[in-house]
Amino acid sequence: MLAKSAFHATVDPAVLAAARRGDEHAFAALYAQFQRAGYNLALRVLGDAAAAEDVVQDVFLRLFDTIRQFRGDAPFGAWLRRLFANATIDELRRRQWLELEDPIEAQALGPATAGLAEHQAEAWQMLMRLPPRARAVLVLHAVEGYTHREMATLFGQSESFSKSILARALRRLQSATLGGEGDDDERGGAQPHRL
Amino acid sequence: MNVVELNPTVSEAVRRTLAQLPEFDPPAARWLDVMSTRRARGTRRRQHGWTAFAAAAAAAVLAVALVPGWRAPAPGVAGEALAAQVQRSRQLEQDLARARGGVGNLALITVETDLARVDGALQAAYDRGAGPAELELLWRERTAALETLLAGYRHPDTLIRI
Repeated sequence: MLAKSAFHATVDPAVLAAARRGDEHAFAALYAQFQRAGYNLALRVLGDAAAAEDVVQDVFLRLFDTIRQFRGDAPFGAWLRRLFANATIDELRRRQWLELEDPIEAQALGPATAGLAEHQAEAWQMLMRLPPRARAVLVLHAVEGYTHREMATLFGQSESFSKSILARALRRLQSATLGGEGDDDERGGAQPHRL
Repeated sequence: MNVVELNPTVSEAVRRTLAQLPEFDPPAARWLDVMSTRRARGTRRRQHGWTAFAAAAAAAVLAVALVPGWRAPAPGVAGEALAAQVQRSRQLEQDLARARGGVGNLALITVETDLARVDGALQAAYDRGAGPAELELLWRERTAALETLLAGYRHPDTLIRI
């Protein structure tokens, strides 16, 4: 069980109505409510604090123009989460990280983990040892609750692509959590440590 | 605490790992970046509006000046007050740009958003051809917001945090 994603939080209808009218105090309230959730989604996928901050800024700037398109037929948080997921995947595409088979080496890009509890720092390092594409699938599916169909649309790929990436990410993460060296595909395979 | 079930394909070990992922906060000043970028974009849009307004005003002045016997009226009190507020606001903007210097403070967010609101109201007033008295009031409001921001950036210790 995970702490429920903050994107599931309900939004005051009066705040939403005011934001749709362009009230910037209402936007400030929405920012205060969702900036952390959006930042962590982007950060867990990108592993780069500055890039995650840019995603937050881009999404909220876009929100000023797009909030009128929100029709209210889905929870606002779910709609906003899709904006964050799209912006994050766009950033992966822009950096050409979607095709990477190996983790990004630049750990220095991430947030400072010095003050974290040991188990938190370990969990973070394990996630960062996955390639960006695997992190994206894992975070969106396991943490944010995306279905494979939704991820197929997001990545412009088939559902089996998403299932395959997820299965390998889970095997790799599981072997890491159990102290293993990697799954059977990876040990002795032609492409070790790849997802 | 609200909880959500992970997908059943996720094993308990992975579940525990994901549950331990830390959460981080973006820098508080990021909202100021959002607002300044938005204001800069708004300014560019407004410049189109004000350019059109200025062109129309110039055309009107030219047309009236060409009318035989026309004499320019003496500047009214409201017009002088408006010009003074516009001038003061521009000076404060320059001072504020220097004082910001990349520094952000959460306590100033509401003032920044208030400034953006006044900018919107000002543009709307110009768009509908509001008179100098109304414009002067809005410029006065803008000047007050700029002065508050300037004081906040110059003396952040005096701010009440929100």
